[in-house]
Amino acid sequence: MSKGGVISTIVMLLLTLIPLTVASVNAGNYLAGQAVEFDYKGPKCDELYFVVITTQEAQMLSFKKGEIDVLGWPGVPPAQVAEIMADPNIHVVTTEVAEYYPLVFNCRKYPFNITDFRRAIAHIVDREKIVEILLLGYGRVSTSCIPKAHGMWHNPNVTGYEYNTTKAAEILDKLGFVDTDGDGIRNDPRTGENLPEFTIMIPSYDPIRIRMAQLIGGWASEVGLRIKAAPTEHGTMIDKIVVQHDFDMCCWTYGWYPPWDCISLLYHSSQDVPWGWNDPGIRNASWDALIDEMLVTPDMEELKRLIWTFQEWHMQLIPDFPLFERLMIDAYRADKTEGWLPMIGTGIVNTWSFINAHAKGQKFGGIIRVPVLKEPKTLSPCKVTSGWDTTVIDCIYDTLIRLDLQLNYIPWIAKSWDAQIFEENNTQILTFYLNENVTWHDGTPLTAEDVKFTIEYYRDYQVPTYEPYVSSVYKVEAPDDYTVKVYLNTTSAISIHNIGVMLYILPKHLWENVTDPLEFEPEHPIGSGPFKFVEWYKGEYIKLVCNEDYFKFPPERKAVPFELSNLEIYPSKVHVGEVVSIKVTVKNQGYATVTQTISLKVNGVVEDEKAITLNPGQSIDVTFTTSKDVAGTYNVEIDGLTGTFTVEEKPEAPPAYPMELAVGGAVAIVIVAAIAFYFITKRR
Amino acid sequence: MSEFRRFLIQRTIYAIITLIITITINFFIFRVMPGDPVSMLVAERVLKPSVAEEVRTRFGLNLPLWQQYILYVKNLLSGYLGYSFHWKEPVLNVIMERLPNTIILLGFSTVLSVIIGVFLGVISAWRRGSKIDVAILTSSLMFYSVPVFWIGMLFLLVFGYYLGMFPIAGTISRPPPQDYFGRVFDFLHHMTLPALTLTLISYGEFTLLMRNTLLDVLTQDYIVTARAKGLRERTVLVRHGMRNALLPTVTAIAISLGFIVSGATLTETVFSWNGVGRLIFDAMMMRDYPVLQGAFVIISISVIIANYIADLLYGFLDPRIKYAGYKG
Repeated sequence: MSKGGVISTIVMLLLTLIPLTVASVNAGNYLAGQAVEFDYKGPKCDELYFVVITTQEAQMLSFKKGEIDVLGWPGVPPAQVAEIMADPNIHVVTTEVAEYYPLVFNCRKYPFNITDFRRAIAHIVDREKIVEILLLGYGRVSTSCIPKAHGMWHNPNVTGYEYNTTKAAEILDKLGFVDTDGDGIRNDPRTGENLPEFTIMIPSYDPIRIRMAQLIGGWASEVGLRIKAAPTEHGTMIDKIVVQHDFDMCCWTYGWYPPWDCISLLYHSSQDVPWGWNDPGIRNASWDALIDEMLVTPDMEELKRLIWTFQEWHMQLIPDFPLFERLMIDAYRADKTEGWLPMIGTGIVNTWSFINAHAKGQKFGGIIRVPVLKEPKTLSPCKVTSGWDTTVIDCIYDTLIRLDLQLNYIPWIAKSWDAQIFEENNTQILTFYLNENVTWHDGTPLTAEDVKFTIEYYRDYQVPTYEPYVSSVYKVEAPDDYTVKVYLNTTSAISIHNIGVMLYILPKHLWENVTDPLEFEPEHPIGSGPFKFVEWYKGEYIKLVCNEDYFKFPPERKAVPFELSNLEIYPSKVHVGEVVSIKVTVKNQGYATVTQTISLKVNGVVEDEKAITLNPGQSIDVTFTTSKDVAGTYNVEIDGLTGTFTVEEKPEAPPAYPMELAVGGAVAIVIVAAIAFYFITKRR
Repeated sequence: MSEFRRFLIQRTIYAIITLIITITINFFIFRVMPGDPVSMLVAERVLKPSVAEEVRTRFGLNLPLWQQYILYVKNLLSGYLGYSFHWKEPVLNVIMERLPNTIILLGFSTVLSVIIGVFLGVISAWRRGSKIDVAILTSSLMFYSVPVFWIGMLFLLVFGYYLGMFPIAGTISRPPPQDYFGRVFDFLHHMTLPALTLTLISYGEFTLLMRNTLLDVLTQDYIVTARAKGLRERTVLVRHGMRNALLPTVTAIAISLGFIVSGATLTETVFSWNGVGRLIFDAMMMRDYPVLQGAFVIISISVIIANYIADLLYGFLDPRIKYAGYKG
């Protein structure tokens, strides 16, 4: 296992494709939609909840009811799309998936060790039908071991084996597998016996693949082969396929990125060991040579050429047969949220979406609630093992480089980088130039020291998730606060990917004393990512909030001073000692909640201050009062707004009319009258 | 030695023997399951084979079975239930985190189903053959036999979704209410559907048991005598009938109470209730042996204790029992 780590886990996160939003669904076709605009700035929401809902049925109900805002992996079942589309408040988004669904042959085992035999099997599989019947059109026939969703790495010139039972029968006849005894089952030329019943091992939890294996069984019987579906519990499957290598054929999913990892793990001879990744057990010296070259080539174009070549070779030998590429069907609550961005593999549930999504009808703000089928088990980057972990960790921590929606490298913590390659001594130096305005969630600036620390930390503690990416690093330097030089013992072009994209940067000041990275669980994870950790209510949810100090935080979302208007002074003319009210309208024009102090100045002297907190768009009237003992004209100023009022001497007052007395008297009369009335009437 | 003490000692010894057998079975049952726990880690392809070997050594999985067993018993005696493969935390913590949710849910629904069940059982037996009896019997049998996940999903669909009266998942709203009482109310609101489901599927057991034993009792001679004495029907039923019919029900109740800590795997999973039942389900899926083992140990102990108490209670309620078998 030369490259373990997060590969399989980031699968869902890193893949991307043409962004689509769906206007209408027409099963069987790819769905039309328009590209979503995204400025790579955010976060735009206020709070982000990852809600644990453990069954797909409950997720669906919660979603339809509006208790969660999005429905992500494993997506909407094709059969339910029409029903969900009927709700005008729900939008469906489809994305291509980079998962690889092959029919894996056990090339160690007779007769699957015969290449032509495998080809014959490939010809009996009607993949069009599988897509039509089982995926209801939400997918397409797969043509290569690198799915089309891998973009430039996919070789479009490779073609597979068409459904053709006649051809399959011909091949089998040629190999000597003929039905000599006329019982409808082909015989083994070596023994003369009927060929045994072959099994396709499939995970018992997936009805689609079980049905598929049954279909294949049906087609096989047309050419005199017996193949049956063997739904098997997941753990047992691993034991049989990965450890004991005891199976005929199996069908499971390989979903990962980048493609070189996929190839180098799945098809290299060195991986054909118990616990290795080479499930088909293919051993081919020229494949190994090509893969080895792939992993050291310093040139991306050359890498691409090698990967394309490999795909051709793969189709020749077919250690596994590409079946179909699924279309991911996601949905979000369009009545509550907007800004979801599709990415291959995960569809719309990905970090870019979390950064961009916000409450509907406003530019910023709102709460986004994302369901997870499995609760993450850690928020420590060192302990990541599954996609559920990375989904959350990717929001809290950052990498030097990220992959954008189109799968291109996008400068992130590193604003630029370069690679110097020295082929003569098989080394290279990667230099990363960091953004200078990145801070950790606790306010400490993120510097080159942190990056240096992180790389060395992962290497020195051999953190399994990252060890493959940093094992060739022999030195890291931080010549200044914002430059990092990484020295590697390899010329490989993919080093930039391994160091830049794969490593979550850790804060040195919090991790330098952690000596057990595989045990340590930070109570309150501090990263530099777009969201800050708030609370993990185990079994229920993880709550994150928008990191307002994020270096990609939208400038227009930052707090702006209040706008003041309508200064009113009432009355504008008073006598000495009487009260004057001064009213002003205060409005928060920005997109952030702001607390600001408004001060009243009279004749240039601050007389009163009020701290006002306003939500975005909120406006209130603020009233101050004052009174003066000296007659004269007074200038009023509230944060730039001005006005005046006049105070006059008190005139000789006429004897004040004793209003209280009058009221009191009236009340007394009424009471006396009432009592009198009572007694008079009672007497009667 | 008084007879009661003797009875007590005897029962205690029985309980301990049961416990030993249970924990032994508990140990071996996981070892005969196919697949290796570490295989799950490697299958997620996060561990290198060499690291997997290390993990095996660390958890003692490479030792001979009998050594593993001794280690297991030793740890149990010192109160250590092991370390969860998946959660990377001591098993006891993992279970304790979820135990309150489970005890509240199961405790509430068990008590409710006992009350409803016994009450309906008495009415049913009393009005034997009437329409009420038939109605109670049919509904109890029906609810007792429908699959719990089906009724749970039906409730979710009807009360949670169509009528929108109750939340669909979890024990608390997201975002949660800010004040204490709001949270308590929110929790109860979330608990309604799962508790109702559990009550519905379990009250039948008590109804049927109560009805049958009461019917049995009501045909006894002393009931005839009581009636002949001219006692009121009500007195006959409550003082003479129910009292004697309660015995088997007490055992059933005690055992149910013992299972309170086990959670309700299916119900908790359907309602995304964060309890021990769901933990067991997750642990099963991830082959987290220590958690499963730990959960089963705690459940076993609790059931054995509940049984033990039921035994004692039984002897207390029915003096014939405790002496009959042990009179020298």
